[in-house]
Amino acid sequence: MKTSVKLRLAGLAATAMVLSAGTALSADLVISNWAGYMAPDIAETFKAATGLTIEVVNHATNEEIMGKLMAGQGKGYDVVFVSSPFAHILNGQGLLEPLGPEKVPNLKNLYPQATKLAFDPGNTYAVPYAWGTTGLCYRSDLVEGTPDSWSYLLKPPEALKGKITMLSTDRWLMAAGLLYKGYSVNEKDPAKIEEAKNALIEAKKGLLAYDDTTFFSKLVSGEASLVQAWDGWCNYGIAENDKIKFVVPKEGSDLWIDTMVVMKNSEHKEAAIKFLDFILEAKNHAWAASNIFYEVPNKPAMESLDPELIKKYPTMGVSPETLVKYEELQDLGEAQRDYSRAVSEIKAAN
Amino acid sequence: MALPAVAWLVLFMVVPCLIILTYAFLTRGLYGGIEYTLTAENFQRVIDPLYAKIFLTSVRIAGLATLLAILIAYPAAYAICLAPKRTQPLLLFFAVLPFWSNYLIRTYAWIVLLNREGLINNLLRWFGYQGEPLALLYSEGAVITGLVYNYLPFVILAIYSSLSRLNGELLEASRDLGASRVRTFFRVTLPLTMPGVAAGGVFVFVLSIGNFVTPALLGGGRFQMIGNLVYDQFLTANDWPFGAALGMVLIAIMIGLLFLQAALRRASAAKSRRPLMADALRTKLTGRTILVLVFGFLYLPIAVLVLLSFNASGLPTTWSGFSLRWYVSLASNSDILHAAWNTLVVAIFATLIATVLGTMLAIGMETRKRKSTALEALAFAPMVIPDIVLAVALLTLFSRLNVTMGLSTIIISHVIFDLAFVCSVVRARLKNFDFSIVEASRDLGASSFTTFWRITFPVLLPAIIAGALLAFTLSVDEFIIAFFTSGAGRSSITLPMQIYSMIRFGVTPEINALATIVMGVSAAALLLSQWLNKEQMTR
Repeated sequence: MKTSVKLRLAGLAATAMVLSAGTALSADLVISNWAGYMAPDIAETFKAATGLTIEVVNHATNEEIMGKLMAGQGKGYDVVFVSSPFAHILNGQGLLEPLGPEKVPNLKNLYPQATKLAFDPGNTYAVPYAWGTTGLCYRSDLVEGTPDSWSYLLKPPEALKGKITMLSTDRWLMAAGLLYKGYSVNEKDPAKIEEAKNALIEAKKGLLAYDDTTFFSKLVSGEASLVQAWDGWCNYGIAENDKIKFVVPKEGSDLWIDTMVVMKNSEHKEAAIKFLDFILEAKNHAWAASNIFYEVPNKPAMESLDPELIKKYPTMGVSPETLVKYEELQDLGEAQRDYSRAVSEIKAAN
Repeated sequence: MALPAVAWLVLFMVVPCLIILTYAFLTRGLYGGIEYTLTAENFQRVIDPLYAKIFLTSVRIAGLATLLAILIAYPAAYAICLAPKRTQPLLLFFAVLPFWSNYLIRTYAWIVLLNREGLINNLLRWFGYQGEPLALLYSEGAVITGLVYNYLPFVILAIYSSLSRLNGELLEASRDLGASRVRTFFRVTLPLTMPGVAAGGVFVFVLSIGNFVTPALLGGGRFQMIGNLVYDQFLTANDWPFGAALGMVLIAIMIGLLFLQAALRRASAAKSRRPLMADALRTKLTGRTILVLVFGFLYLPIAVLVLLSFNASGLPTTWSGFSLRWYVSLASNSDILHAAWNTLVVAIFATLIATVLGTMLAIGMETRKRKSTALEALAFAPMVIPDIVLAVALLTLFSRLNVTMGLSTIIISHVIFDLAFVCSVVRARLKNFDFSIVEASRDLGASSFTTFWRITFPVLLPAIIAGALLAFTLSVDEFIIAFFTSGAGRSSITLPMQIYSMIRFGVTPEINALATIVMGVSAAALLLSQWLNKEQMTR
C-alpha cells in the first residue's frame, strides 16, 4: 500500500515535471545572442513598440553557434548575433537572408564607415551591432611606461615575464604574432604564418597563460600586469580598478565587428527585420555603449552618450575614422588550416 | 537483456556518428561545410608528428591523473566500506555532492586557491613565507590536480561498488589460514576488486582525454588534450572532414587500448600488485583519517565557491567584500532558475532510463556464453566518442528527420553516455558474481522474474545506486551535447548552457549562490530523510 502511494506520487511528480518543462510559449521570434549583450528588458520594449514577442537564447562563443547553425541548417533561429568572419561564412553557405537599406531603413543611423565594411559593403547580409579593436590592457602601476608595441607581448622586458596573458582564440593569437612581424592579420603566405608561429612559440616562455575569459580579472587581482585584450573587455577591468589602462600598439591592430544576421530558414523574416530596425534606433542601440562599454557604429547613439563615460573609458571616444584604419578580420578560406595547425603547434610547444 | 540498450545505441549513436565519420573521406568546402569529393587527404594530415605529440602528452596527463585518482579513491572507498552500513550511502552521496555545482565555477574556485595572489600563497605569507609567490597554476600539476579532483568521486563509486560485495567471511578465512592483513589485501581483496579499479580508471582516463575546461583554465591554455583538438577542427577551424578523421582515429585507438587493457588484465589476472598501496596501508591511517583527508580535498574548493557567492564584486576570481546581492538577484532571475529546473528534469529522466538500460546491458553482457567483441566496443564507444562528434552527429540526424528538439532530445542524447557508465559500474560488480546461485534458484522452481528480484537485484543494488549517481552527476554538468540537441527555444536551456553563455560578460556569483543553495538543499533533504527513517525504525 505504502509503496503504491509512493509510486503514484512519483509518477505524478514526473508527469508534472515534464509538463511544466515542456510548456513553451511560442514567441514570434527566437534570437540568439551572447548573454548580457542586449538590454535585459528588450522583450518588453520590443513588444511595446511592435506588438511582437521575442525569445532570447544565449550562446557562449561564435564557434558553438556556428557549429549548431551549420549542423541544423539554422532551423528554429530567426536572428543571430555573430562576429563578422562568421557572418561571412554563414552567408557563403547560403544560410542568410539578404538585407540592405531598403529593407532595414534605420541603417541610415550607421556611420558611413560602417556601411562600407570590406566583409559586407552595403550591409547586404549583416548589420553591425558593435565594433572595436584588440590591444594591450595593463596595470599602469605595475608596468613602466606605456606598452605601445606588440613586442611587449612577444619580447617582454624582464620585469613582465610570467605576468602576461595572450588571447587563446586562433585568429587573435596569430594576430599578435603577425602584427609583431609587420604582417597582415589576414596573412595567407605559409612562410609568414610560420614566422609568426615561431615568434609566438618563443614568446610562450614569458607567458603566464592563454586566456580568453578571465584576463581582466587577473589584472584586477594583480596576478597579471599586461594582457592582450579586446577593448570592451578591458573596460570591465577599468570599472574595478582605475589603474587599468588600454593601448593600441603602434604596429596597428584588427577591427572586430559583431553583427546581427537573419537566417534564411527563419519563418518570421519580416518580424526579424523589424527587430534589426528596432535595435538600430538610437536610444536602443545606445544601451550597449552606455551599459557594457562597447562602441556601437550608430552615429546618433554615440552622440547621445554621457561625456563622463568617455572620460572614464577612453576607448569609447575612439572615432570611426580611427577604428576603420585597423584591419578587418576576414575569413581565411584554405589558409584556415595553416592557422589551425600553427595554433595547435604553439599550444603543444613546451 | 542487452537488446534495448543495443537498439538505443545503434539508433542514436552508431547511425548518426557513421554519417559524420564518413565526412572523413570528403573534402572541406570553401566556407567550411562538406564537398562530396572523395579523398584520403584527411588521414594523411592526421599522420603528423604534431598530433602524435599532442596525443602522447594527453595520454601522459590523463594517465597520471588516473593513477593518482585510483591511489586516493581506493583507500577512500575502503574506508567508506568500513563505515557502518547505514552511513555508507550517506558518505557516497557526500562524495558526489560537490559535483552537482557547475564545472566552470568549481574550476574558478581552484584558480582562487592556487593563483599567485591566491588563498594558498596568502596563507603561506601569513605564516611568514618571504620568497616569491609559488607558481602553482598554469602547470601540468595544476591540470592533473583539477582532473583528479573532478573525476575522483567516479572512481570512488566504481571501487566502492565492487568492494562492498566483498565477502567478510572470505577475508576472515584468509586471516584464519594465517595470512597477514597485507597479504590478505593483496591476495584476496585487491584481485577481487580489480574490476572496480579498472572501471574507475577507465572513467578518469577517457573523461580526462576529452576535457577542455581544465587545461584551458588551470593549465592556462598551455596544454592541449586530444579531445580539444577534435573540438577545434569542428568548431574553430570549421574543418569537419579533418575533425571527423581525427575523431575516427582517436576512437579506434581508444577502443584498441581497451582491448589491450582487457587482455593484459586476463594475462596477469591473479598476480596484480600495486606496491604503492602497501605503503599507504603500512602507515596505518585509520579509515576516519582517510575520509577526513579525502573529504577535505573534495570540499576545499566548495568552501571557496560558497564564499564567493557572498562576493561583493562580480568578478569570478577576485574577492572584494561581503554581500548578499547575488542571492537577491538570483531570486528574481527567472532565466537561471528555469534553466536549473530544466537541468533537473533532464538529469532525472536520463538517469532513470540509463540506469535501467545500462543495468540490463551489463547483465546481458556478463551472462553471454561467448564474449562479443562488437558488443564490448559498442558499450565502450559512448565514453570515448569526442563530445563534439556526438553533438554534431545528433543534431544532423534530428534536423534531417525534422524532429522537434527540446528537453526530450537532450534526454535521449544524455542516455547514450550515461548508460555506458552505468553498464560499466554494474559489470564491475558482476565480474565475480557466482551465477550458479541464479541457477540454483531456478532449479528450486523460482521464476526468472522472482530470481531476478530476490537474487540478482539485491546483489547488484549498490552498483546500480553508484551507477545512477554517476549518470546523474554527468548529466547535470554536460554542456556541449545539450547545447546542440536542445533546439532553438528558450524552454529547453539547461544550467550549464546558461552558465557557459555568461563567459563573455562574466559568470556572476549568482551561479555560486545557486550552487550553494542546490548543495545545501540536497544535503538537508538527504539528512532529513535519514533522520526520519531512523525515527521510524526506532519507534
